Amino acid sequence: MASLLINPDIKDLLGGQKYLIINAPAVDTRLPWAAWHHPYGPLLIGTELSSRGNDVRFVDALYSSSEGKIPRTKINTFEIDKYKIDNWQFGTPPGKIVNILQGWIKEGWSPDVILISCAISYWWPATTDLIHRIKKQYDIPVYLGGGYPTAYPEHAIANTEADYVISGNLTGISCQATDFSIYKPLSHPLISAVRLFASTETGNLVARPKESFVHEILEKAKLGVSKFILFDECISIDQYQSLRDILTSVISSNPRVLGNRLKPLFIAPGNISPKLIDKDLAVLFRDANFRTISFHDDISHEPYKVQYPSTFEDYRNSVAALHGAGYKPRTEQIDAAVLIGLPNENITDLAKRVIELSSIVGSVHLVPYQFTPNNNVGNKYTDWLSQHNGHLDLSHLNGKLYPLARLAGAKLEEYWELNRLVALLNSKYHNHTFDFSSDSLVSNMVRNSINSRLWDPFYKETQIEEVR
Amino acid sequence: MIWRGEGKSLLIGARSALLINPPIYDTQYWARWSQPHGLLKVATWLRNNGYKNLRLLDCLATNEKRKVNYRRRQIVDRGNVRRQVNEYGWPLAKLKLELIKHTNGDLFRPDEIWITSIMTYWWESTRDVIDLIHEVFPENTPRILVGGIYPTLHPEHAEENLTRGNDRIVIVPGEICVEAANSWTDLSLYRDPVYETYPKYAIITGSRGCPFNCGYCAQLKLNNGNRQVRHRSAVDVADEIEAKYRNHGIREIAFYEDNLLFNREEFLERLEEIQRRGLKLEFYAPEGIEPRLIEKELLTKMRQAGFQKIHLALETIDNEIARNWNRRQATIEKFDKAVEIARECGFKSGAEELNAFVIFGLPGENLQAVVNTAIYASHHVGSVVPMLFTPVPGSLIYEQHENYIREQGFDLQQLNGKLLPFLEYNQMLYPDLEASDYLELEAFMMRLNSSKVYSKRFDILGESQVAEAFRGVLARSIL
Repeated sequence: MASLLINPDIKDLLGGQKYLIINAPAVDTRLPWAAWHHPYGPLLIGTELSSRGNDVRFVDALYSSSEGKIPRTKINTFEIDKYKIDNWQFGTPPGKIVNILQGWIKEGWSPDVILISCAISYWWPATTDLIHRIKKQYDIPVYLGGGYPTAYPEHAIANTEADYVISGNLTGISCQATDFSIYKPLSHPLISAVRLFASTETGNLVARPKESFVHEILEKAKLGVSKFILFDECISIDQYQSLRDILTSVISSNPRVLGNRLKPLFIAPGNISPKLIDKDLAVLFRDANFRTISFHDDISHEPYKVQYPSTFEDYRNSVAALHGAGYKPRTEQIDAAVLIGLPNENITDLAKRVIELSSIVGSVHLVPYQFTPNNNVGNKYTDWLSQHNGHLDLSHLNGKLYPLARLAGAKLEEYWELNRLVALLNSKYHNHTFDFSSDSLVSNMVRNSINSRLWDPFYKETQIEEVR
Repeated sequence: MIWRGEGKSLLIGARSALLINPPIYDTQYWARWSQPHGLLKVATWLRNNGYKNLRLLDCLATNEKRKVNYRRRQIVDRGNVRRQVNEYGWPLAKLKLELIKHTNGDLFRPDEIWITSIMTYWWESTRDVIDLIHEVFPENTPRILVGGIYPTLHPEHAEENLTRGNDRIVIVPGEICVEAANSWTDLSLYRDPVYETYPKYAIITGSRGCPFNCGYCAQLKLNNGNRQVRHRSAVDVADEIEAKYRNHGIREIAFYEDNLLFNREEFLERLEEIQRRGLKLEFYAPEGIEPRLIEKELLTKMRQAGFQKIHLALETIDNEIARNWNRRQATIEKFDKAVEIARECGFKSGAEELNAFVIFGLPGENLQAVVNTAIYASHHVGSVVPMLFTPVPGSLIYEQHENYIREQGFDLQQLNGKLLPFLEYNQMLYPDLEASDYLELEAFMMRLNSSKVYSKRFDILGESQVAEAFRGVLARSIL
């Protein structure tokens, strides 16, 4: 039986000098944007341990190739609303990870402690398998942390052979930049997650010192890292000034290696508030080489109540500022996230919101709501779930299958339809998306065809028949 | 000189020949089914007539992924858009190196060079290949013979621009002779180290001719005014397919015919003959099928034989427009019936098993009807194939607008549909029409095909709440 550690201090883990940190494989129906699944938290812990003089090695089971590909194996197929859905294990299989460990031990490098991170609760089966394989062969203490044991500590204790289950964040970490040297002897990725802001214990966001951020970018760019993904959950208007300062520092740092200008490229994946961007900030984003600006869905929600504090006008203003700074309209450069999968949401309203945002922003992406207990938002849904007979198995709480909305009576098919609509709205030809609401000749004709039923060659005849 | 005579009169005792399929200059090129099958048939015919040494230089031979490389050639300003014309296939420098091998003793010196020239608007690359031949063979230049669709449809243009008075260059319009036209294609010519890969498919032509004369099509001129559909015997076609299956490992067959299903009985017989041999093959008819000829027994047999996809020549849902294009035989009612039968026979809509051609870019066209057709086709068939119209010499529409084309000073390469030759013409009907509107229209049609999630795409006329909401937003945003 594992011991439960709640928000432990990192020094409580210090039981040796050699640490192996493993980012566990995933079990999911799909893993889009695999290249952007960066093990930021585990890497930060490894960096902290390393900075304290320990010998740290890191295995990222979700490491993706430079093309963003990640190995996968089908585990099973299940059925929801007559849809057969495949479940896959993504990443380096547990057996292979144990082989890597075996090889290192043979070479004389044996860890004193193994830390395993399982980021998402319903990914737990691969983690269970991994820990089982390790414990079967080695008597090395295993700590299990990450999103899964934080949300479901009892489940993790009951279903894994970990010696310690960590619920919550590790405290006492002072590092703000991840150190890629702990990837050695394996190769490090060419994409890195970075954070501009850190969350304090009271939940406030504090900007990283700009020098620290710029230093991290420069050091990683020298290692060949060419893309940086902002992992901040949401950068809002409150962070405006700090963001300006950091962007200005990035621009003025003019990163160079051996006289060659490095051009690190930044991506903000759904975390920029639509209220945030004005003309000046848009120009700074461009000059700092932000390739993609994706707006955060500033939604506030609880069962039976959804509010959107950002208006369409906010989106329009931000988009206009970005276009003014040179971001190309209706390309992948500007995008808006839309959260879906909440119970009691109206699919028609959601579809309208998606279409409206597509028209304004040019591109949208859907973010399925992932219910997680034991946090501010999730706690609001815990009672609702029990009232709706929602004690579902973890594997059925995969947000990509919209479990809460389905519990409230929605059909999976409607959500697939929403995904199809988004695929249509986002589809690019000659690098541009189509605006169904614009005043272009073709848009007008498309609307005319649909609204007046001109597409139906038999419609007129039917009407004439009816008149007769 | 333009050759007009009996097929055998072309043969003047030569024993060795190079066969060249030139590179092309275009804005886009779909290489999936692009074998120079006419030239490959000529190869067989030449061999049967005593040629000992033949070598194919197919500049458009594809790679493993069935694609060809390209390089930017020029930018063409067209209205408010800039279109990039690329050089697809081998660079001329590569072709030159291959030709040189035939001058320095490495390989045989050819008595003749046969060139195929397909689209009329690709003629320039044929000219460049001929210039290259003269450069490599400055003296004792082999006799050059140019055949294919271009010299057939516009032999005078070819004579003026390719031969430039040189009697050693022969323009060969139309089919050489029945024997040549019915020959099997010679795929063994691809067993040459110059090719990256061996073909995985073969093009088969089992019949030639079509009794109709649709306004945009030049088949009647290609068939020398002959409206009769002439077909090879089912056994001969099946023999060719079987030989390709067994000797060349071919598993995919594309039928290239003017009107594949017109001779129903012959085609049924062909399918039965193929099936009887128990070959595991996939069949395609990428040039499309006349919807009115589809009926259940035929389509069931096609499916059983291994037809994977059906491309239906819808073109427009407006029967009046179809009549104006001299397509009286094609009505929307017949198209609907064909779709219904295709579904009954197991061809799934929305899965690219059923596809509908939609033509646009014609002079005096009704653009609203094009949009209506695309939406209708997407709803009923699931996959729309936009086809930008090219005025082809020999077609009715070309002839009707020959004066306009002349007044505009367009040469054949400028009549490439992708360069919108009737943009200015249609601006008389739609004063605000821009070249970008055509790109947007094409893009709209392509997008209708590309929204698949869990093997279904979004149907804007569908019955789901989301589709209704979509139409609701569109109704609100009428300007």
